[in-house]
Amino acid sequence: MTTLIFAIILVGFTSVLTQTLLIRELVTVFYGNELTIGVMLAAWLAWGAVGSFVLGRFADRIKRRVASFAGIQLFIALMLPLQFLLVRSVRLILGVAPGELIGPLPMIYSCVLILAPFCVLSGFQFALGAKIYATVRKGSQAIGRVYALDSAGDMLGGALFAWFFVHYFRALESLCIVSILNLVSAVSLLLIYDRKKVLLGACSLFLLFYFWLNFSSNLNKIEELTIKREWKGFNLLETRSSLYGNLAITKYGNLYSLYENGVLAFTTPVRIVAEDLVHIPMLQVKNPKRVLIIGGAVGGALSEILKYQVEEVYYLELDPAIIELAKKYIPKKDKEALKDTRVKILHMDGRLFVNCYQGKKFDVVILNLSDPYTAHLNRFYTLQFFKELSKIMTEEGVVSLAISSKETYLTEEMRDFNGSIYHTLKSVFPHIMLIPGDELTLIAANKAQYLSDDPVVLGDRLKERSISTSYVNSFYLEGRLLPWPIKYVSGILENHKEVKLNNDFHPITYYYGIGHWSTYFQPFLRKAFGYLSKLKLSWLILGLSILWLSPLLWRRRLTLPLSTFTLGLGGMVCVVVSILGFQILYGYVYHRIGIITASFMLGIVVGTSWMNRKLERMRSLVFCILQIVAGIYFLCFPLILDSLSRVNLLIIQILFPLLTFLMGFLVGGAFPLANRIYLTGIEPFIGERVVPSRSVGRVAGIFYAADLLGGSLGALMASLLLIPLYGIFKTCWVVGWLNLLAMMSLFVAIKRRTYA
Amino acid sequence: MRSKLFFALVLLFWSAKSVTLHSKNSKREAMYYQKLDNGWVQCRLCFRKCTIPEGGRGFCRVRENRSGKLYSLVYGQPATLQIDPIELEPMHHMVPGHRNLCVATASCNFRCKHCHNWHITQRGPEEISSVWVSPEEVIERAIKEGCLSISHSINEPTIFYEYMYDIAKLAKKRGLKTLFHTNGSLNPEPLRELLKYMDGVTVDLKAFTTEFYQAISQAELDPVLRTLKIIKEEGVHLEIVYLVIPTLNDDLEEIREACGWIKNNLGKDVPLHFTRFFPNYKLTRLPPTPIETLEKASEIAKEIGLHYVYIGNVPGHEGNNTYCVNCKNRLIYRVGFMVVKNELKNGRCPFCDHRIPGIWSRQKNQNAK
Repeated sequence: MTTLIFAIILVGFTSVLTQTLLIRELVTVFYGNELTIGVMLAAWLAWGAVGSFVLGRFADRIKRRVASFAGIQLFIALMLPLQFLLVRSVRLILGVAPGELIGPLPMIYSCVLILAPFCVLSGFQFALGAKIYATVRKGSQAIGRVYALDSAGDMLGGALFAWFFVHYFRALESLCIVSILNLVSAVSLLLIYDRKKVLLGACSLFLLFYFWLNFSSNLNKIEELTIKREWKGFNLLETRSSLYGNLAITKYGNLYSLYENGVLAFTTPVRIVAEDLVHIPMLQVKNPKRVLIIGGAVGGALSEILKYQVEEVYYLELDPAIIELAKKYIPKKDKEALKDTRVKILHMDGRLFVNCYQGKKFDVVILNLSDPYTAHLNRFYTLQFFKELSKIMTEEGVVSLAISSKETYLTEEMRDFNGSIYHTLKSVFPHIMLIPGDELTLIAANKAQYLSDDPVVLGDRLKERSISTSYVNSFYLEGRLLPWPIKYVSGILENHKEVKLNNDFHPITYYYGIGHWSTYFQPFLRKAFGYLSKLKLSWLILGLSILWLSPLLWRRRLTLPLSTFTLGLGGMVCVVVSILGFQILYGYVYHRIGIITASFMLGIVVGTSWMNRKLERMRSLVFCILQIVAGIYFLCFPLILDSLSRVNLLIIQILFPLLTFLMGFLVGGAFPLANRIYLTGIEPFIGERVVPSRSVGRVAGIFYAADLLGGSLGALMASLLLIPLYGIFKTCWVVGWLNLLAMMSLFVAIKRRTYA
Repeated sequence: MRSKLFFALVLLFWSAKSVTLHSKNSKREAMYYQKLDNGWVQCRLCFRKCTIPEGGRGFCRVRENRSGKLYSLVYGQPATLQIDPIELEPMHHMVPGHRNLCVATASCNFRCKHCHNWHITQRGPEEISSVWVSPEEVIERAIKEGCLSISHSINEPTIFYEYMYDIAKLAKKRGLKTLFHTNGSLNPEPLRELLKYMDGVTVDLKAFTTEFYQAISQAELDPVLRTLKIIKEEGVHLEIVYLVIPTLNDDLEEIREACGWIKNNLGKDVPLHFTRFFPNYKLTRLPPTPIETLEKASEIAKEIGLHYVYIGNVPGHEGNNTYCVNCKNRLIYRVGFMVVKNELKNGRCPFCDHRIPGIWSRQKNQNAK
């Protein structure tokens, strides 16, 4: 029995750990933004659904189920490292030039193809596991049990990754350990339940092989080799994997480049970039004493800031590994800057810092972040953040930030993207100076007296403060601050008023950002983004409502899977919204975010176990009640979020995990019930009985698939469409409404006895 | 039924699209094309020589076959009219520091993965917002803004040949200097005709291998070399830009070969700019070019005997300046594309009276031979 429990926990464990590792690798190979990550996650879940639904029906027909289960484990154990090697070789297989971005289309099909075998099998494992478990327990309870164990495995996988694997093992090693665990489980299952000799032999053989691989240095060699393949064309010096992603350092000529998840973070020493970043804003304040710089300053900016008579420089870099790695390769003067007593380096999220900062006010704030193409980065470009920033800045203080743009011509997408940031910033800081270029630098201030874009004035200020620079001087600035582009860009942005402001709870800019990013590639994507942005919420709701009510007219048997699907969607949206909400109201802390996800999983485990115990006495109407609660939950969620923005940080930390726990409980509670209704039929009202005959594997497959598909759609729809276009509040209301709709159609089906 | 509905929708969509197209774009018949059978035409403007069916467009997205006639869709439709210092072009041997009006439209006939102006070159004319500006109005604007010259750059001017041709012809009449910045893909006939009205040309030599041209730009090297020779033959002032991209075209042997070719075919006096690459468009994973590479390239070029070798995109580098070949004195001191000091006297070195090739006089009709 324990071996079986172990095997099923391992399903969830393997899937989460593999997911985390592979998606990190995929993001490094391709590109990480809300679109690409959304697609990867959705593909993952959708393939799982395919596995459980399509293969689930075979679970009932297979004779030697335990042996098959062990066989799948063996197959997965072999697949994992191979899949990993495949991901690292994608650039070579696709034949892209070193240093070239891969477009969204090749990305989508290669992700979908690479993820397929593992995810399909993992989905099938669920159905098969349920069928095996049904030999020791009643069918529906067995499914519920397996669901709970699987979720417990998910939780365990996430926790172990963050606290253990990422610190002690490299990616390939971690995957090999997962493979070993799967093989151990396979061997023990075979030994206890079904001594199929060939399989047992194969499993033990590979187990020994993996052990040997793990304890010899070969694995490291393979890892090195694959990294070399991935970085072909570069002179790769070192790689490191941190909690936040994969880091790599390359050398070209005498320049060192640091890549963060495959994206070039900075190249050093390129003085011109560091000087341009620092001096232009620093010269806009009379006597800058306190400076806050968020991100990337290790690449040269810090030593530039220290050329001024500053008293304190706060430098925020979320990932300590970036500084540790960069330290080895930066020039001496930058290394000394890191050790300077005036410099305070904090490994902290910018929002959290701004929320907690109590010290003296800043004269200059430099946001040195990538473009907001994710909801995560979008938090640094919102109205609320700018307001909070202005609270910790002096009266004369300036904020400087830069975003992708051009000076020759602004495309429609750039107008939206740059315009939304410009107008958002402008509604907090009345004076904005624009410096167009490949990146548009915005320098914002409350007072305009000292702001100047006159190259001579700025050159004089440099001399007055006796600051020596290699590039930035009045001539350089004359070329940088050419009047024509400034006039052109500010004219366009000032008059581009139809853009929405970027709000914490209505983060539109990352949508504009992805729209702009998509113009690098296929025109169809650009068009799709354009059309979608014009979609009215009322039309969307109408369309979804028709879709959700259609099973009622067409096939009422589908109402129950649809309800499960909607709950799965709700669960995913709840997690997405909670993580985003927490990042906004509190700040981004990896382990805290982990707790939010984990408590959702815990909710599932508790909910499922609770329901499992009472399953015999439950009526199908209870499912409706659970879904009503979910619906109401989502209708109320915005109110809670809204009131949370006024409470202290401690309550926020406690409340978010509680909220996700509750949703997990609802999802978990509903799952075994749905299975039971389909399996044996329950009297909706006392004294009646609808008895369909279905088998465990099939049913488990259907509902697990519905749950995963709901999650898949939820992830894509919420982060790509609903949240940026209509805001978090309306997203919740839409999801709440869908749950109520699903509940209503289920209720009608139950009343007419046509639900199963 | 369903398929019919779909078909109807597609038709509706397509017709709506073509209607807006016809109304938006002016009709200007293209120069240099040939009518073929069955309503097809062959464009003879650039090396691609696209054969285009009725309703179709060339590789450049801006030349359309409408009922057997080829039309330019970007005539009078500039994406931008921008005023810049001439050094931005770059054109270092033409009245240093003067104001120049750049004309650019949508699209391009190359597909470079590192395109700096991908936001206008990699999309069609419908995807760019532009208003009608006649060649006369372009000239008027240039004169009003105090520009000395008009250049056709930012995107590839080959694809708006007719517009460029008309502007250049008119500009010459009004005493403005004319130039264009090209990838060198024009065919000889239209090129020679155009050069009659041009004072200067900047040509991008993107690399010196066919492989680079094919893999990175979807183009060919030979037409570019042919263009360079023709410009030399016609005696129009020429400057060459070689953007040095890490790992792709920064092999010093390749650069040596390119410099040798330039010396042998174009002479020692052609200014050559090695410019620094910064991550752009689809090549954002590449680091910037190390300055040492640019310096080495420039040394090689001088070693081979080229007289005027510049380093671009590194403001304040001494490679920005013009030095006298004869007495080695600094003649034009530049920081980036700003001219700090210009010592030239009537196109001659004030120290040794050596004549520096180029167009140095603000006067009309000065010839650059």
